[in-house]
Amino acid sequence: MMKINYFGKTDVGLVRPNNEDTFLIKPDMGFCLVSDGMGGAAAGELASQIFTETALKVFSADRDQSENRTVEKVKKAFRSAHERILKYVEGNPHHQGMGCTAELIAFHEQGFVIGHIGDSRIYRIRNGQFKQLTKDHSLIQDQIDRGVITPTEAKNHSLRNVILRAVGINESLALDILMGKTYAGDLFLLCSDGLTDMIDDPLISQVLYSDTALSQKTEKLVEMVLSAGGKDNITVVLAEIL
Amino acid sequence: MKYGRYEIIKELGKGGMGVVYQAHDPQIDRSVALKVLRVDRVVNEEFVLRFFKEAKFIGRLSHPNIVTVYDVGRDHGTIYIAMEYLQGEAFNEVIRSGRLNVEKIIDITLQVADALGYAHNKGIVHRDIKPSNIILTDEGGVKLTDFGIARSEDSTAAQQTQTGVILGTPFYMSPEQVMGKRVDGRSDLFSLGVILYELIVGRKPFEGDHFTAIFRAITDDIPVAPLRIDASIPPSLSDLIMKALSKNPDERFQTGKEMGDALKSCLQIKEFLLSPEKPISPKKKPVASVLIMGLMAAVVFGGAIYFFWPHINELIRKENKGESTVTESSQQGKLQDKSGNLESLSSTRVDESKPADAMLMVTSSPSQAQVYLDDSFKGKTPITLELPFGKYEVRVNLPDYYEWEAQLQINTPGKTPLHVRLIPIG
Repeated sequence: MMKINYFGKTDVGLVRPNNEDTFLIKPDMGFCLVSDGMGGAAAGELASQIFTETALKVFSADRDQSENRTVEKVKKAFRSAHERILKYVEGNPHHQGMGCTAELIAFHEQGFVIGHIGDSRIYRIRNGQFKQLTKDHSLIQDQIDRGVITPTEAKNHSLRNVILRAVGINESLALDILMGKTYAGDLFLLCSDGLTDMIDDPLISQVLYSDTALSQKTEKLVEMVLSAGGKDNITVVLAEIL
Repeated sequence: MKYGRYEIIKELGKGGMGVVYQAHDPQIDRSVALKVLRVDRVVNEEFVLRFFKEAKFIGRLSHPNIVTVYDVGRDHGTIYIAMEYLQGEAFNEVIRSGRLNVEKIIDITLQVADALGYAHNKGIVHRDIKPSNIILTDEGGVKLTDFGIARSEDSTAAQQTQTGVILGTPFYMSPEQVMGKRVDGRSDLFSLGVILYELIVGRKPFEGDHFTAIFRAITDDIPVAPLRIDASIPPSLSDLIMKALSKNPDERFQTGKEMGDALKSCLQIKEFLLSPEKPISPKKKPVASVLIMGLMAAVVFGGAIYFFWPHINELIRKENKGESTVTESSQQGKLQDKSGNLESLSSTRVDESKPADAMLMVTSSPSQAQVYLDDSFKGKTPITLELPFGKYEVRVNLPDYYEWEAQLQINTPGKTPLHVRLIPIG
């Protein structure tokens, strides 16, 4: 099994009273995740926690790290969390609208499997190239793709916070699964929109390219968001293939 | 339980922003409708101040067709707003029961247009015109409620960073709202046009199986003119509705009064008003016709197998069943999980993108139809799409024509022509 270094950090930011983001790193099980809760205060926190706990349960129960099993585990983590949140809302209707975005990356012998829903993101640096692997499931992304609005207009869009998919919201779960190979030196970044709404990609990549430890890179990214106003919760997780 | 001096009597309804109660005001000894905001919606002090400021503006509105706002206050860590208590039925309930005749429909729309004209003149935009915000009182009056105080699209920074999904209905939103642009009164008049279309034609002008599709329809699609769906609808009313639904606000009615005057002239067309009831229940798309179109397309379609797919449900994406394939490219299929529930995923190999395997050349008659591949807009016909082998859902859309839809299996290298002969509606 390849060796991977991880580091993660979450911060409530400067505006919100509570932190609805959650992250989890499990090197022994070969996965890490970031989840951003929504639906208001307690409900948002709970949703991202449910996702995290569910993923942990699924990966604890099956230690087989073959590609096929890894894909199954990723799907199962999302599906089970989705069902658990829906069930919770059914018993607590005042929490309607509770759900979460989720990014989970799991590594197997040959590569990685990503599960993605919402507008949190996963980026990768390989051979000096910084690339966003996931595509936001947001209204503005859809409109940019269709040429209805420009990326500049998107920055001032009054519905820029609206996402079209989330864990625990619609009856059916619409999950993106991304798979690929890993190479020594690959650096993966998982983050909530608290980072990407405040800091542009070129600045993020500069920090990731810097010759510093993972812990310093995460600290630096969070620090930059806070200096820019920290309007949302910020979560950053890094995974580096050695 | 009390909020300020108001004693809660019973809950009337619940929404994404909070709860509405019937409450009693002991000072004046009258019933009020008390809207209490969900505690977590009260984001910060800036939000509270803005809420009070807007409530003050709206409290100054005095119009027979607008619900009067009496008071606002803070209690139990949240904000409440006391309004005129009405006994009646929300318009959406009345629509569902199908009890309205055309004359009544026009009359109600006219009164709402008048109320909007008045509010717009005072600088207030409603921003959420939909049937559930129009109340038909037991006394036969029409009242517009829920003027936009601190909505979810609130512009304060704290609100904007709050991730969320739209829980309400987006069917009545204007294109500029969907595109996140600044809105003025003409946005409300567009929404009123959507309601009128629905009432007269019997189905909504912009529909879709999920939010993305509805938003796209609102920004991109021109609805079929009411007259083309039902020839008994007078051209003047059909034109009025189509004008209200113009994408460009400059081409719509500019004021509530202007729209009201146009509606008044429609009331003069007695033959139509006396004609049998207009359809109120939704009309379904004629599936058989779509099938025929598909068969016609098959004649000119080579190099690919196609089969029909029932209308795709909520946000359903498809999964590549051949995950073990060496090809690292995006492919999609459909998954039914073991429990029998429809699950949806899209699987993508992201690493080394492979050159396209085939070229799908989509043409249509007439041309300039919108082409969607797996729900993603690709452009207008004629168009050539470079694609890896796989299954795709293709939709071809042109206003005033039946939508064409099929699932294609593309497994032949080189060019794959697809010609769709669109059939006009009506």
